[in-house]
Amino acid sequence: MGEFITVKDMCHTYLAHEGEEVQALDHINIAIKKGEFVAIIGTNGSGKSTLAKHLNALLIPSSGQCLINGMDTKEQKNLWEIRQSVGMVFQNPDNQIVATLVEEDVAFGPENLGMPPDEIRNRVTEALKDVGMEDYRQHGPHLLSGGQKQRVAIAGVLAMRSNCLVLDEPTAMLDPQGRQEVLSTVLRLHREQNITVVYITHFMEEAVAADRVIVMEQGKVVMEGVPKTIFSQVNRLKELGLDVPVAAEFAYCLRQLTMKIPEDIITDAELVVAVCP
Amino acid sequence: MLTDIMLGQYFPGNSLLHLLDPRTKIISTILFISSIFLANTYQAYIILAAFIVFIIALAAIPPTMILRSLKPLWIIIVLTLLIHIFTTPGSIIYKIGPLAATQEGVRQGLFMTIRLVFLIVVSSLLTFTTSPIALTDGIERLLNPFKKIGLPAHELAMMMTIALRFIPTLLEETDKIMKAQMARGADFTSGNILRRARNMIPLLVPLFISAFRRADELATAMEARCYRGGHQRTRMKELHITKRDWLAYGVLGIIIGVLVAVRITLR
Amino acid sequence: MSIRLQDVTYIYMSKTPYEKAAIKKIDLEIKPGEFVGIIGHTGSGKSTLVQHLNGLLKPSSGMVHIDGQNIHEKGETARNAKRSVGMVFQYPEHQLFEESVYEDIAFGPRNLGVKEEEVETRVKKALDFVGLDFEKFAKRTPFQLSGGQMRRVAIAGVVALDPKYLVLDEPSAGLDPRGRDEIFGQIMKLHQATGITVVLVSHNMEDVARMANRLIVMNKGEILLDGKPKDIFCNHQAQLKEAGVDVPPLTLLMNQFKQRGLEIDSAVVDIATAAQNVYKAVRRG
Repeated sequence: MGEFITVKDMCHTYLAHEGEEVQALDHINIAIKKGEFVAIIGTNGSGKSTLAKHLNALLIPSSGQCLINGMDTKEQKNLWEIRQSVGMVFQNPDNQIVATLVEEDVAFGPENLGMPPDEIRNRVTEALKDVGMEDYRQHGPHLLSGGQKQRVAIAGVLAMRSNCLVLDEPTAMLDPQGRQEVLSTVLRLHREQNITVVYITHFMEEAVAADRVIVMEQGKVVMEGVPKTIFSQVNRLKELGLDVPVAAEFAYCLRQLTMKIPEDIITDAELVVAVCP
Repeated sequence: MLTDIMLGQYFPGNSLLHLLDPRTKIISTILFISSIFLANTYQAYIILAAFIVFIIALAAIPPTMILRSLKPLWIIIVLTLLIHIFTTPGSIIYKIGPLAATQEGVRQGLFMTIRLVFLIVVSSLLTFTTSPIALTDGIERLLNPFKKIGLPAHELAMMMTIALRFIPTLLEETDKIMKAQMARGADFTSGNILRRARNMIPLLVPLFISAFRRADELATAMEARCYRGGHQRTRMKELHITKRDWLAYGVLGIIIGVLVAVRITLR
Repeated sequence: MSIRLQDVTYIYMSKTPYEKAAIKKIDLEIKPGEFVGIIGHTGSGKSTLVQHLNGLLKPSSGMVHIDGQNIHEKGETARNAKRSVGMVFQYPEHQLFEESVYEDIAFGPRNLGVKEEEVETRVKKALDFVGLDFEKFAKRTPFQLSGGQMRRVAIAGVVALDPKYLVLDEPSAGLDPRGRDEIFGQIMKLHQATGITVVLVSHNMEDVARMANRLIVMNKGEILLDGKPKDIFCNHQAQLKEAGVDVPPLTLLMNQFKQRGLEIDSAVVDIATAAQNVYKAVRRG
C-alpha cells in the first residue's frame, strides 16, 4: 500500500505576541498509509493541532515538506484537490457548522466544489445516512447535541468524497455519550469505507482503538508505535502528562508488587486473563 | 431568558403563499407596497384592505400574529396620526391650548396611519410565509445581476446566513456570561443610563472576544471545506419560477391596475 | 447551617407549548464541609439544579434556604446569603474581560464592596490557591495566557469572593490530562485547607469518584441516587446504567476480576489500592 500522507522534516515557526519566534513543529517526520487509523496524542501546546492544519494545507511548512497523496501542500495548484481529499473536523462543534439547516451544511462542501444540484442532493442523503443523522435533515443545528453536531461535521466531509479524515480533538467538548457516538461513527467509516483517519485526542480509550499511536511533545514526535507498545509505557506517558488505560496502570502496580504480569497489557480482558488464568 | 425570544417571524405552513418562490414574494411585496401610495380615496383603501385580508386568509396566518407584528411599532403609528391631525392646515374642529385639530388633518392622519399599518402588515406577511433561508436565497439571486457593477451579492447572502446561524448560539452565550458575572456581583439592572452602560462592559467584552474567536474558527473550517467565495460555487437547492408564481404576478397586476383606475376616475 | 432545597421544581419556558420541567420536586441539603459530586447525562437537570444554589434561577415552586435564610426574599440578608455561594461555570475563561489578571480577579470582591487593601490580599490568596505566581501573573493580560492558565484565573475570580460554598460546573472540560489533574488538585487542596464546601458537577465518573465524599446522581430532573461514591459504584450499577452514566473503568475491571472468582473488596476508587487488594486475593487463592 502506498503512503497517503508523507511529512518530511517539517518545521513550523510563527511569531508570538511579544515578537519572539515560536517553533510549533520541530523537524517532524511522519508517514501514514492509505486506509490506516492513526491516533495522535500529546498535551496542549505539543503541536498536534498545528500538524493537523498542515494536512489540509491550512498551514504551509516553514521548512521541510508535507505531501498529501504525492501532492506538495506548498504548491498553490494542488490546494483544492488536497482540501477535497483531506476533510477536517474541529474541536468546537458550534464553530464549524455554517448553515442554518443540517442538510444545507452537509451540502456546503460539494457546493464549493461546483457539483451539479442533483449530485449534491444524492451525496447529502448518502452522507447523512452514513453517520446516522438522516432523520435530522431539516433540523436547525443549534437544536442538536454536541455528538450530533460532530456527526454532521463528519457527514460534511463524506459529502466531499474525501478519502482521509483528520479530526482535531473532536470529542474534547462532548459528554461521554457524545464521545462514544463520534468514536463509533469514525471507526465504522474506517472499517466499511477504508477511510484513512488521523485522530487527535486526549482520551486514551479512543487512542487505544487506533492502528498506530503517535505521541507528540513540544513540537516533536517522541513516541510512535502500535497502542500496545505505547500504552504499556506507563511511567513515560505519565511524565509526558498523559493518561494511560486503567488496565495498563493496574498491571504496572501489580508488577511493582512483584507479581509476574506481561509487559504489554493494555485492555481489561488481557489483564483479567493474566491475573486469573 | 434571552433564548426564549422568538427568532425571526417565520410561521411554518403549506399555503399557496408559503409555496411561492421567494423572489416572487420579494418582488411582489415591493410592488404592492409602492402601490399602497397610489391610494388617496376611501374606495382605494377599501380595495387594499380587502386584498390584504384575502392574502392573510390565504396564508392561514392567525390574526393575533398579525396584531403582534404591529405591537412594537404602535408608538410610531400613534405619533403619525397625531402629527397629521394637528399640523395640517384647514377648518378647525377642536382646540387644545395652542394646538388645533383640523378636519383635513383627521382625514390625512387616518390615511397615513392606514398606509403605515398596511405597509407593516404586508412586509410581515413576507417574513411570516418565507423562511429566513429562503429569504436569503431569494435576495442573493435577485441581486445576482448587480454583481457586474460590483455588488457583492454572494458575500452579502453568506453574511446573512452566518448571522442567522449564530444568533441562537450568541444569545445562549450572552445568557451564560450574564449569569457568570452576576454570580460575581455584577449588576445589570440598576443605576442611571451612564452607569448601566458601564456595567455592560463585563458582558460585552467577553461576548466580542467570543464572537471573534468563533469567526476565526468558522473561517478556518470554511476554508478547509474548499470555500473560495461565490466563484464556481453551485447550490443544492435551485429556485424555480412555476405557474403559481405567474398566477401571483397576474393577480397583483390586476390589483395594481384597479388601483390606478380608481386613482384616475375618482378624486 | 447548610444549603437547603425544599420541593424545588423549575419549569423552562413556562406557559408556552414548549414548557418542560427541568427539575422536579427536589429535596436536598448540602452541609458545610462536604465535597458533593453531582453527575448525570446532558439534560438530566444537573446544571439547572446548581443554578438554584445561588439564586441564579428562581424555582417555579419550592424554596431555597442558605444558612437558614430564604434567598428569594427581598433585602440585604438574602443578597448576602446568595453571595456566600461561589459559582464557576463551564468554560469560565470565557467570562474574563479585564485588562489584567489582577483587575479581573478583583472585579468580584469590589462588587461586594470590599476595601482596596483587602482586595489585594484576596487576589493574592486566590492566585496562590490556583497555583499562579502573583508577581508573574498579576499584571499580565489574561487573554494571552494558555487555556489552562486562563481557566485558573477565572476560578481565582470566584475564589476571591471568599465563598462558603463553591460550585463548579465541569471545571476540567476541554483540558488535557495534566491540566485536568492540576485543576482538581487545587480544588482538593482548597477544600482541605479551608474546609470550604464544594459541589462539583461532572459527567466524568472517575474524577468524581476520586474526590467527592458524597455523590448525587441525577436522572430526568430527579435525584436518582444519593450516597457514598464507593457504595453507589459497587451496589447500584443497574441504576447508573438507567441514568445513562458510565460506571468508572476501575469498577468495571474489578467486576471482571470478581466474575473470574477472585474474592476481593471491590469498593475502591484508586488503582494502587485496588491492585493491592487483587494481589492479596491472588496470594490467598
